[in-house]
Amino acid sequence: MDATRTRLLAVLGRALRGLMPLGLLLATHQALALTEMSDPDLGAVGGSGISLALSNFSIGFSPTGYLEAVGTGTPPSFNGVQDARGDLIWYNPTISKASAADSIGSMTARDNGAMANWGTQQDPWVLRVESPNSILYDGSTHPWSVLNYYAPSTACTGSGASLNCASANAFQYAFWGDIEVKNPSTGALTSRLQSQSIWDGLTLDGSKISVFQNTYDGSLGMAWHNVITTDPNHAFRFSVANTQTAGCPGSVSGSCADPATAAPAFDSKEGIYFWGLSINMPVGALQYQPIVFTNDPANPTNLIIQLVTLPNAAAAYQDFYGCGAVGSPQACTVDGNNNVLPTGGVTGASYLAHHGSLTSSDLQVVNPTTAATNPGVMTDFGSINVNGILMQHFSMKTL
Amino acid sequence: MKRIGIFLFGLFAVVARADLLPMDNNELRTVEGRNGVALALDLGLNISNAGATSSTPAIPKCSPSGSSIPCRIGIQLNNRDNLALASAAFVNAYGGTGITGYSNGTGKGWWLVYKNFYGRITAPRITLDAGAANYNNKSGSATSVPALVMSTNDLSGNPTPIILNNINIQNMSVEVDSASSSVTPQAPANLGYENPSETGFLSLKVNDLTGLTIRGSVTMFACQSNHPSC
Repeated sequence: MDATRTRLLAVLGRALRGLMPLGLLLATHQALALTEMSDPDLGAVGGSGISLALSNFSIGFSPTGYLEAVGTGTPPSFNGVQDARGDLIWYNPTISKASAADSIGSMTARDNGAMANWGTQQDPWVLRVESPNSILYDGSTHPWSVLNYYAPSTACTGSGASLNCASANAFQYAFWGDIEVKNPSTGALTSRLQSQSIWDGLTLDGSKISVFQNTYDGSLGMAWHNVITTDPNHAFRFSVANTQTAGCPGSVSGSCADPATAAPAFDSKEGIYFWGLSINMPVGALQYQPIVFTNDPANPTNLIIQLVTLPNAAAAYQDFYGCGAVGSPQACTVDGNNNVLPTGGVTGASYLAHHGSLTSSDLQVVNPTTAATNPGVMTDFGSINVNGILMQHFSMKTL
Repeated sequence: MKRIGIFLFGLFAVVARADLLPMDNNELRTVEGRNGVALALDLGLNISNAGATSSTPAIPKCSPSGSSIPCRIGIQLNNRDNLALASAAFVNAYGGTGITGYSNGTGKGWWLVYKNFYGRITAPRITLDAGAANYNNKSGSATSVPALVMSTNDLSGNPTPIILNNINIQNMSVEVDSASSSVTPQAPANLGYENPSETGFLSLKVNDLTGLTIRGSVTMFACQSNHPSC
């Protein structure tokens, strides 16, 4: 028995030695597994940005699908009277195709179907990280990393009355909404306002959202340049008249239910029409005026969203007031009336980079349609032109 | 004995042949794909009726604070604690004059907390396919790069709606850690998002049982330096 066992062990020993190369192969196979990259290795990796092109595109909730924001907590009281609670509901938000042109009575469909392109392969939406030379919060200039999300950049053709945005990624944005007022203690619905918003023919081309580590306090920073252009043949229509016969609240069915189970039938012509509404609104500046998120130490459960006050650093505020090429400030000049004069005037790139504007070629208000007057009486207020808006500081705190 | 040895060795040899072997780049290049991929996704978060049809309203499984399932998400930004105005200098390789007021992160951190968070998202069909992005590069010549094409279309080309079922954040609030900490992460007992209070300043809800309709397709490609926008 012992001799057999010894011989068996000897054979096994030889067999196992024969298997050693296999063991080595297995070991090297282990070495082919994934290995951790160190920070310097990761830092050496470079990449392109990501481009997005959307074709035959639309996105929208169903007619009774919604987003709801509800004020919670105990509403504050002023002079012994407690505020009511408010609910905001956005029903059926939809981004779809822009119409060829609008007229009173034609802006009725919240979903116009799929648009051919929103961003093309030649001019896409772009998400990329960049490190441009930037003016920091202390006034010094250095490269600073920022994650940028760019809208397409195709500009509308023509200008003024002949402005045309059809080939510049124009689209329609529409929703119908419900503003509900509720008793703060019982939660009962006391009043509500149902409205419809349709903005047809707008384009976001030229807009940008930036995310970065801010140089104000080292936390998250954001900046946003909002460019909305609409040509004079298209409008933003806001309307409230609808054919609800039973009063809301009161009835609890259909469009009066909470949440509504059917969309109201809105008047096809009534409303406020902002024709050619265009907005250029920079919020924040890279890198000396970030949007930050913080809280109030005295009341720490509430959130503050704040556009940081413009710093008292010459390089920063000279760039902000448009006194040089973008990112390269020069000393500002002041005229005899102590007005700060931007270099290149009010159409220069450095001025437009920080100054906001809002224009509308025509503002019309149309009364509800009645049997006697169809369309309702129309009042024309003319054009709107607001220019040179600078936001030195902005703070919003929840209560 | 020898026969046993050979038999055992034979067993080992058979097992060894089943190993995966790495392919080199030339071999990988000769592989061609065929059709794209279609995915069906159904995500139920903190709900008790995940097996119901996707348009049945989702029922939360969350229990009020102090019970077993508080259902919370907490987000903490860098440099957000009660020492945020401490006088530590902002040391950085950029060589600027620096800023003061940079927290060293050892105070009581604050969290943006989503309380009582639940819901269900069902995407019955998302297709992923390979395509090409064609554009004129910076020199004006036609260029084609590989692209990923995504859509929700079914085989007839109609979009399949994505069902957003009772996605609810009952309360949003900022909560502060109950004690300072010299280490990251904070000790569990002190964490702000464990604060049992269920109050907050805002509630958000998204609900579309018929579904969010996304028509068309998204083409995603690399933003290379020869592209005019990149």
